Amino acid sequence: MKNNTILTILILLAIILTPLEPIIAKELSQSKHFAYKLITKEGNIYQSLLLCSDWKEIKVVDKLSQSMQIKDIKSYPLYISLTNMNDELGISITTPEQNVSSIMIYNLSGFLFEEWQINLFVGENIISKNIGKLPNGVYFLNIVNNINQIVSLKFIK
Amino acid sequence: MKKIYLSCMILFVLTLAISINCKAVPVLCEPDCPETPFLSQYPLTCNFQLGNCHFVADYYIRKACSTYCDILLWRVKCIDPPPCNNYPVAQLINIATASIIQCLRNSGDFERITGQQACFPTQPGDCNYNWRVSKASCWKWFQNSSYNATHPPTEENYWGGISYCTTDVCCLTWYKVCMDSLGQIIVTELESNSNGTCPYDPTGQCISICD
Repeated sequence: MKNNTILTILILLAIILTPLEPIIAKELSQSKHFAYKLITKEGNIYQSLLLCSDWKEIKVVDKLSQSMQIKDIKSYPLYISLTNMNDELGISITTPEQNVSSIMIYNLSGFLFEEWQINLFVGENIISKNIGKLPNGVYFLNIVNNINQIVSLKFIK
Repeated sequence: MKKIYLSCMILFVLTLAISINCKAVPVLCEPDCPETPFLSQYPLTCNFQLGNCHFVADYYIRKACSTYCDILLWRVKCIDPPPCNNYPVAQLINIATASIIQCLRNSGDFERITGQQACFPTQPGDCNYNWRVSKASCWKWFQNSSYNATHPPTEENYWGGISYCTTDVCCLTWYKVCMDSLGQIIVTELESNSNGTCPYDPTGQCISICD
């Protein structure tokens, strides 16, 4: 009898002292997603291409060629547009100051496929990149300038 | 005598447990489902960046009526000094919301804290319409009085941010969250409802974000 009482008390204590925060034993099947897009009621489009939520406002210039432009580059000294025709990626970068920038091509999972450096001159810089070796898919082109500012654009191969 | 002693002990432990677990403070702007309140004992934060400016969104969550994945947006801290306060309030709130959904997906916090499944699409082409964001209808910019400009801005030493102007007028916004064929998550703002209008503010600082 005495043992039963102690056992009951212990069970009661265990129930009472269990924290309200639920313990979820099941594995979270969700994977992390690299790319997020926000479409507002006004039709503005924002794209976050990094896990740390770095948002850019974008404007789709031409849906067929997937050409896009950064619409609102607050305090960012680059203006970039992309065109993709027959495995030739055309990159147009307009900058008000000369600088050395790095260009990186990532896939949706964040895997780095290519990286190279370019000297940007004042005004428009036209760069052509052959992407014939890349598997078909969606890629992000990141441009990082000499003060570590990043602009990302999406393109489809 | 022993029974009385045991009863007293159980009563004491019960009181203690209830007082520990019920320290939550009431959360404002709870539109419906009062039986599943926002979990104020679990304040959450989400960092995001817009241009060169860093922000931190403070929020709470709940699974309302076991159906809706609700976010209560409480405040958005603007870490960096001006010109980072030039962003429109409605734009900041929308981007904060999408960032929170991104943070919740990547952290698994929704499932961990509510104990229920989050409203995420599971496969390409799927959409979920059960995301809602509750917040005040009127917001204003504030400056952090303890911000020290001689030190680098951090989450603690932040410049200011946006917060509620008044707590009695609330706004509920629906969002659609889809996964496109490429695996990208698309957050689309749907409609908003408000239980009132922003009171007249002669200083012009209070901005209505529920139009």
